[in-house]
Amino acid sequence: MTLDFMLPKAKTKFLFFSGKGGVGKTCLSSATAVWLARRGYKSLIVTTDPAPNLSDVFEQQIGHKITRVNGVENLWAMEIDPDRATEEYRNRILDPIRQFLPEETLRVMEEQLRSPCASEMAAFDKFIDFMESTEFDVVIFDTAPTGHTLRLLELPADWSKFIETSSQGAGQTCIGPVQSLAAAKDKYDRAIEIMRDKNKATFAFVLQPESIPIYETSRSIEELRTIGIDTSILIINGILPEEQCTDDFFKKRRRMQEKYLKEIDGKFKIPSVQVSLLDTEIKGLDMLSKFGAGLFGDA
Amino acid sequence: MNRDIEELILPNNGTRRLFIAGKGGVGKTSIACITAVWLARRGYGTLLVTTDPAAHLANVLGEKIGDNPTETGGASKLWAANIEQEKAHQEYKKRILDAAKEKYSAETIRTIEEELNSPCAEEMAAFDKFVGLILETDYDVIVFDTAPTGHTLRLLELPTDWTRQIELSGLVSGRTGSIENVKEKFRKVIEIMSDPTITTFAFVMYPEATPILEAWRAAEELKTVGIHTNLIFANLTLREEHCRNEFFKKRKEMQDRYLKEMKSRFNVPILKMPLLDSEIAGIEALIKAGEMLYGGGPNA
Repeated sequence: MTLDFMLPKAKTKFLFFSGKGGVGKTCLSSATAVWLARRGYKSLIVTTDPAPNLSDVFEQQIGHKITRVNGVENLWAMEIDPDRATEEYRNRILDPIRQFLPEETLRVMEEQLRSPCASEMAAFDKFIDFMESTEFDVVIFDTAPTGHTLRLLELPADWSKFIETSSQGAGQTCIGPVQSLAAAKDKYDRAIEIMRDKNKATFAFVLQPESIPIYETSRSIEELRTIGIDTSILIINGILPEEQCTDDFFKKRRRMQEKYLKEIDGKFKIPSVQVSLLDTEIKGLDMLSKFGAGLFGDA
Repeated sequence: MNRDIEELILPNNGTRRLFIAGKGGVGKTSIACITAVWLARRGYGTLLVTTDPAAHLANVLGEKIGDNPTETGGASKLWAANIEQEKAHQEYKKRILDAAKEKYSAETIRTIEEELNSPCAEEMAAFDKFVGLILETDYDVIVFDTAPTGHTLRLLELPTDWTRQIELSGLVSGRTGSIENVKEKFRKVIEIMSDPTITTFAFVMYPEATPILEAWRAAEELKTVGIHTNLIFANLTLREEHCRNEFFKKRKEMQDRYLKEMKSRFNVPILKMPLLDSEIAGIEALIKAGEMLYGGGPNA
């Protein structure tokens, strides 16, 4: 299949992989990175997964710095430790305003900045640094911010207002006072602008052909749409290979998947690619290359 | 069913609460429905509290469920309540925004409104709705198909200025009267949730790398508020008799490795829910699945 929107037309292209934990984002984004690098594009893959799993997938130590991947030209990788990123983010927000806030308010804010949204925000904050650089042809992120996070970033930055509301108890935010991010506001605005531009950014959703994943994916896609980001491709993972479904049990499961594939087709109107379930976990360049070729073709 | 599991599922001198935690899509609602039906058929007065989209729940349970505990038609001794998370979220938002509108500028309201669109606020809203049910004592067992995260509970536990917090967040407000009552009620709820003799905290996960790690991180976070995970449901496990060719044999070996990892990470009893050849829909399917999960006939 041709996946034009995956290819960098101008420096730099950003690919985002969204989807639930365990659905195969790291594996799919790694295979995509290898595939692009093998085609001569200088590629970087960045992950914020809690499991340091790029090291597993590439069978070499990666860690918190841009690391050349052995055995393939043009490929670099980096693992961002999400806990460390969240802590840095929390401190960056709180340090400048600590002295202005009462102890109690501060404690509430610290806790708010331990939320899943804050972690997502912190990861995105790390990604944004790469979005300012033109060193790579393609940068691949194995996770993506939600529409909610991006909308928060778009809000007017004025944190005197925050202090006013939080001191009156309206501290409901789960990413912290967006207003205190005023300094970074221009950077965020530029990043969101890039994400809206289909020539510069591609959003891929990974999901399994089942009812709740379809429902949740559709909600997330709608949410991104509210800020003008379109999803370019659905990657449907975990498809039972027909030739392996030799008994009634798996034949029935396969028919169920087919029903959901139809539902996906009718519901989303977004190009999709199907990825078969494998009998092993994907590790090492050889497997990643083969897997990528199966996905995107050999050419 | 062995004694370990019995002690975790059955009432113990009063109401047992069973929280089924885990990421969206891992099968929490199915496990909760299976468990509730199984308990009811054993004669325990059971309340099932779910937060699923109504259509999905109606599909699993085979009947529509409203937001107040109502006796179901499908099984005797089974009551059910469905808190629609999205609806609860909308109400929660409205309550806070109405209160805020009197105080703040339009711009600030916009910020508060967006902040309230968060998944955290959605979780709060659902928790706000079912927090009262945790205190119910009219049932032998109450099964919740969801659970608050450690983060949410820590936020609520903060000795912050409750008058302000509650005024805006509206947590259990308008029902209980004074702030002292609200604080007391919340303290009681945490106490119940962290008492393993009356509350069981179970995580549902697939026997795969990332889901195990995610559940483990969530369980670690709950420990910070004194809540310990004491049961695991390993969902979608492959049964030997279905794994006849090489392909599925290898998949099963992979699962077995991860089941071992679950055991060593959590060190709690693991109940395996086999992968089935169709989705669980309707009371008959729930009964059958319950026998697979817990064993035994209807009145063993």
